[in-house]
Amino acid sequence: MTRALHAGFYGVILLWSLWPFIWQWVTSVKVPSNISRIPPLLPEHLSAANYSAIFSNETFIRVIWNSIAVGLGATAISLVVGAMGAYGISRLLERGRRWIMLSLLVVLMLPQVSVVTPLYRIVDLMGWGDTLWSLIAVYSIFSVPLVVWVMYQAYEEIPETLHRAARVDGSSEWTIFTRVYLPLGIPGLVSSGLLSLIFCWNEFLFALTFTSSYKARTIPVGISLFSGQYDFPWGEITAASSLVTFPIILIVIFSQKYLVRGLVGSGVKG
Amino acid sequence: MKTEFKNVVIFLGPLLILPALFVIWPLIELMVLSLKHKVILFEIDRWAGLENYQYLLGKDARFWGALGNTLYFTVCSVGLELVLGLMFALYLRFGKESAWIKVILLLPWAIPNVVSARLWQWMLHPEVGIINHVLLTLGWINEPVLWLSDPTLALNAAILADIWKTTPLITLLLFAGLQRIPETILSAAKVDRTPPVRFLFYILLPQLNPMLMTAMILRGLDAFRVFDVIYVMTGGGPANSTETLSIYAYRTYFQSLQFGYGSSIALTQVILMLAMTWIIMNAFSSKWDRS
Amino acid sequence: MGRIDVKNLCMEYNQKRVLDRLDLEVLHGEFLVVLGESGCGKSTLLNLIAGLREPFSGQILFDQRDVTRLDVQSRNVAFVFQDYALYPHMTVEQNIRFPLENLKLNRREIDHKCDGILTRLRLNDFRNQYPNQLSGGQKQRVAIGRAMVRDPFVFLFDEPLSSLDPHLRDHLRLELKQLHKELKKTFIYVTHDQLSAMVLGDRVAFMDDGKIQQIGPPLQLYRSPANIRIARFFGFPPVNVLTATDFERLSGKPAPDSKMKFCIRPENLECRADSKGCFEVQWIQQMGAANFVYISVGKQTICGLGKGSLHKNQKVSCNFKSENLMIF
Ligand SMILES: Nc1ncnc2c1ncn2[C@@H]1O[C@H](COP(=O)(O)OP(=O)(O)OP(=O)(O)O)[C@@H](O)[C@H]1O
Ligand SMILES: [Mg+2]
Repeated sequence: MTRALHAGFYGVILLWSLWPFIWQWVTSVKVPSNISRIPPLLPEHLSAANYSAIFSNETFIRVIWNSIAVGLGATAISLVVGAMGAYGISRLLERGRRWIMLSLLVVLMLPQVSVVTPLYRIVDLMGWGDTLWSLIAVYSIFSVPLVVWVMYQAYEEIPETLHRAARVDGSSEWTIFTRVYLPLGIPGLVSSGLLSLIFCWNEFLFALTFTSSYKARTIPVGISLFSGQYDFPWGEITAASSLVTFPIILIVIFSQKYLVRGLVGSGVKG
Repeated sequence: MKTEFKNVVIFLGPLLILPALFVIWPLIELMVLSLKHKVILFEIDRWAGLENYQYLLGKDARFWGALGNTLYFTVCSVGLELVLGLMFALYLRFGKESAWIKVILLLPWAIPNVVSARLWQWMLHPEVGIINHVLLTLGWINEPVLWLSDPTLALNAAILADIWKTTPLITLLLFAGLQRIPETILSAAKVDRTPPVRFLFYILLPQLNPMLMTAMILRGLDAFRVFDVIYVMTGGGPANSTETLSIYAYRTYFQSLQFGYGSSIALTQVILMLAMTWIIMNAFSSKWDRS
Repeated sequence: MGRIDVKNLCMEYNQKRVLDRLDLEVLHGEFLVVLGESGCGKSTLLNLIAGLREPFSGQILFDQRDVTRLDVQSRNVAFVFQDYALYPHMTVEQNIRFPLENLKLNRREIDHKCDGILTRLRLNDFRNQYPNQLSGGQKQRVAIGRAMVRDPFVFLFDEPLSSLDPHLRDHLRLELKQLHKELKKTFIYVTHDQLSAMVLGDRVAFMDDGKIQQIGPPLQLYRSPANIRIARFFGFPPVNVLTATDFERLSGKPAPDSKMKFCIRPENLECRADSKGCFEVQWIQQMGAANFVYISVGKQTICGLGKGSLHKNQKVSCNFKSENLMIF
């Protein structure tokens, strides 16, 4: 009885979460001319036509590279700035921590649309218009608070005596940070790095407004701008979507623990 | 000591300069712009004082419509997500937990908003969408439903997509909260033979309160600034029926190129968000502090 | 040498005085225990001596050299924390090498010193293990080893034994005392546990109200405490404190001064079975080696050492030697 109940509940959760993905894959392997016909639900035979169309599309390849570059660049910057900042807040400040943490949260929660035009001007002034640099810079700003929140949590869990012990042992702050706190904070770094990567991989509004050509457009913009002569080319869209969700599925499967820890860690004290 | 100050500068400098440069400065500029008439196309750029706000709050029916849509979206999606998420979390905690279910729950959350919006758009397609197909086959509807082009349905469709995408996040947060409740309290309740409903309302929920608050505030703010899902699914249409504040501001900036007025909308949105947070935190502050 | 003078030291947290013009002399090579109630500022004092915090005012001298404004790196002290604060991601050997690497010594010198310490503390077999694989005693040795490599001026201990179970604590106390004899360095050990103070200290300094109230060999604090709080702090069961009237009831003699308090330790108050005695046994606490009996004197219950076999409600008479009486 309880087993049947468990099976039932699992079935519901599975269907609810996975069905859209499955439908997306099913659509993507249909023959293009059959896509706008239902029934049949399932494809009569598998076709790679949509995928080959995607791969022969140079802009799409370009867009993927852009996303990877932006994601890695912004994550690297925000990890460095965020880990150092979290260390500073957690171990060097006696007062004002709450204040800083709250204002970082405000940055995290700010509607993107409210800063998009002033940021656009700054990006323009720097000569970064329609380049990857503009996105790297802006994404760093928005993922730094995320990293700080997760890393602050991680550093607060390290006993304070360790910091004092290291000082007594004659270390400079920099040595303490690099030799004690960085190694001990690796799980936190993995968590926050992944969260930041996912954020950069998914961000849409800035990518849409700061870019004007495929030179710097990222995947979400690429997918939103797919257009055909009459209707949307759904076969290609679903194929492209399947492709960009693939790395995310891998990340989720292999680092589920870190992601959950990061999400919960940054949320707990909110 | 001097060295300490140097260290603070080294470690905190970048952290404080970046947001200052890229957030505080933009917000100031936003404030200034919102007091101007600035339309790039006609090269209009002059001071307007509070005129923008007077128009916004007094005469702009579109603004109030957008505010209504935003609130509707926020309340419905966050409310349903909390209920669903709590159910899932309770099941994970007291039914059966597994690492795989977490993976599966994380998937919708992790994919880009744009992708999930396109996905739902495709599933809700009036003629070839799977949802209409299933409903027709089951005989629940007689003719295809125009999910995204019917002004009374479009926003609800977007809410559905949002619930699908973010319920997992809430589930995980609440699950973590449930795991933190000391086992001893649960055992004590069991020894006292607390009936399940009382157990939920008098033991679990009060203990879970901080986590619920966190989830509610974070998700509430996130839903209040919703942009991607709706922009991709409906673009704000049909007939502005899905236009939220973010989308209204975006369209004012980039479609009508009214930078002054757009800034007024955006700033109003920011202020509303701050006010919302403040109200929620204060309304629940007594409970919040105790835990 | 390892002499430390603390002069007129004051410390405040948020306008709250924790140390108030505190004076303390620590002699070369002695094992000094600073004893005091929880929250009286012992850790604060230790942190100030180490240079982990800056005092509000006052002076700290190491061998007559003023180090008050020097920071911790330039003072060369060793600090052993309550939880030992070993670096969990480093092996025993790496933990011990860490301070040497901070000094930027060359490889050969580091290897040499590190090997010496490992051998001396019998840690050679564990050199590649991580702290969470060590027993309590081994952890203590690693912590001390890490402190020793730099040949520090003084060893500071902040209640490192307080969280351990009594047996292990006993064992580690002995080891620590042994180590002190071998190293011939100045040890300052801070605790709120009177037993540790009695066992470990060459001298004990009692701290209260932000000052050192009394300093001397442990027995001196035990036998002739400077005030009633110190008297109360030592000994188990705790000292009996009597008012003048109760004192007269107990001893049958007139009290020398009616405003004073009279203290007598339970082990100095002998209670014998006596059918004509004027006190009655309330209950008996058997400690194995000794039996303590509780009797009523006036409205107070006081504790004495039971002699011979006693049982409840038995009449007893009590006496004590006048040299064991403490009057405040
Ligand atoms: N960083 C600090 N900020 C504010 N007050 C502090 C700080 N550190 C200690 N105090 C206060 O100073 C007093 C003395 O603290 P300290 O830690 O020195 O006591 P202690 O004697 O070591 O106590 P314990 O035996 O519990 O370790 C306490 O009342 C404590 O609350
Ligand atoms: Mg202490």
